[in-house]
Amino acid sequence: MFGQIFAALVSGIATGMPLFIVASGLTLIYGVMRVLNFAHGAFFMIGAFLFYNVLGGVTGSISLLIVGLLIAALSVGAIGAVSEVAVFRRLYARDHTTTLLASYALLLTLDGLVQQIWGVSPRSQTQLPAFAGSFQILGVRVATYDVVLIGVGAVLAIGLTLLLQRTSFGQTTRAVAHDQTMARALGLHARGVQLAVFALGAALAGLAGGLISPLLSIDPSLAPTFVVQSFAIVIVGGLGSMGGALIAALLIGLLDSFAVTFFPGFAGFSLYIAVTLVLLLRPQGIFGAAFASREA
Amino acid sequence: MNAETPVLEVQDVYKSFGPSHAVQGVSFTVRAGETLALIGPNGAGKSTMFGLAAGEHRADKGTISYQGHNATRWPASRRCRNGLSRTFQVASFFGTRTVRENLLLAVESARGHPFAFWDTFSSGHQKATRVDEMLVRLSLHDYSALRADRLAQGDRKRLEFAMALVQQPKLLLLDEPTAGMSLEDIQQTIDMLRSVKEANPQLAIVLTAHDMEVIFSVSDRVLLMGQGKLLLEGTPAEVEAAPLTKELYLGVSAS
Repeated sequence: MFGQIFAALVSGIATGMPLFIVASGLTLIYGVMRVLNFAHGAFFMIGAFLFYNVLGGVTGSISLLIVGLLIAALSVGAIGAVSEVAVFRRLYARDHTTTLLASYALLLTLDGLVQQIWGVSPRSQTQLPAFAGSFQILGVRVATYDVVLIGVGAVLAIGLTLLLQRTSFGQTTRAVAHDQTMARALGLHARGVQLAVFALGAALAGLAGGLISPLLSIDPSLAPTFVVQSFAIVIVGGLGSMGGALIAALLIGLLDSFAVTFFPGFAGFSLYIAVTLVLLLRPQGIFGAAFASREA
Repeated sequence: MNAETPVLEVQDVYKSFGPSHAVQGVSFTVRAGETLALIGPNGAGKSTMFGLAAGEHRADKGTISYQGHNATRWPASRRCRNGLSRTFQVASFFGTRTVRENLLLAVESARGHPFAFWDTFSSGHQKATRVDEMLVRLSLHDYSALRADRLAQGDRKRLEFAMALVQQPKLLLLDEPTAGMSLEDIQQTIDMLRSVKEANPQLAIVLTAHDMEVIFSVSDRVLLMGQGKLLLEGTPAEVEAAPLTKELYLGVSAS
């Protein structure tokens, strides 16, 4: 029994961490610009495809994996920056519906672009031998890559918190999130911050795409799947809340892995059950109105 | 820039929002050390004119020069980093941060390089001294560790004012600095403005106000606006005496 619970715990956290990375970008963009970006799923998908291209589908070295992740993150970050300038910048003053529609249009455009470049047939990225195995902790088998996922997620969670709370950039970003007009009047580069935050949010999606591509079939269905999952996490955690995204992603990962272990019948539904419960009981999310309007 | 160059020079500026022509061909200058009041009834265009000067709106036509530089297309942030500070009608600050943190942020942002990821936002000695002096000057030192949203109404305005002043501006724009204030708070604001002018004889101030007493007590010149145009310019006494003012601004018929 203990073995089962521990295994479900580890695999739940490992499932939740990449979801956190995707959702952190989404919630960051919402928190600062109030943009609900449907194209976030496409950012994620492009990250997965780019990572696949760098590693070529075959097993590579750890350094190649790192290069692949960096290329996925930086290229998708650049795509995010271009989308900000070309699409979103002119829409910040409009209402949510307009930006939501624009981001949906961007999702469809990027999706079409991906199908043009990579086609529709699924690809798979072989896991690196160094990470393909598993090892024993407390008598329980733990997949090596699960530990990698947990490690990267934890590092990013800490890094993002430090960035937002402790650095000058974070201070500026929170000021812009609080009140753009006032931030400008105080001399802050609100535009630059918006561009940087959009690029950073997109880069996080690209990184997550690369990071979990060895576990998935890489095809154009990734975008809708992950946009739904990351929206679910952001809703459960509270729109704009970084801590909320982390807790919600872990919760949903754990719910999923415990459902698989103990109630296999619910396995596919656990996400929707969680979202429904949260929307019924606490519509603003667990940490609702945290990062963004906590400032207000 | 020589002493003759106006701090702010507005030349034939136009601004429309859709079919509404908010500002139509307004020109005026503000020199160092001068305090200018923009007055007019609601819808006269003074708020838009103020927004154009602050960089909140961009002029459709005409130029806005700032210390001799054409700043028409400068965003608000760039104007601020070049010495223009402003306050808002509703006091704006960061509610969840302390009074002192708000002032530190104001100093920090006027310095302007937010992409210093490595910068840990530590309080440099000089910066901290400036902030602490300002806290004392505006009698906010007792509240320096208080969350800004816990401040009383009058103190909120003072905090916003302190945030603008601590940036050591050359031009200060005050949007309705006494709006919604009690008589006592209005008097305090007037005293504060006077002491600020005394302490900074080179500081140019542009303010919008409804309250005649404020306008009289602090401004050197008054601009009366109506329907987007500049109708009258003069000393407070001249403008107040003009029949047009009574008709337009005070809502009294000139006849």
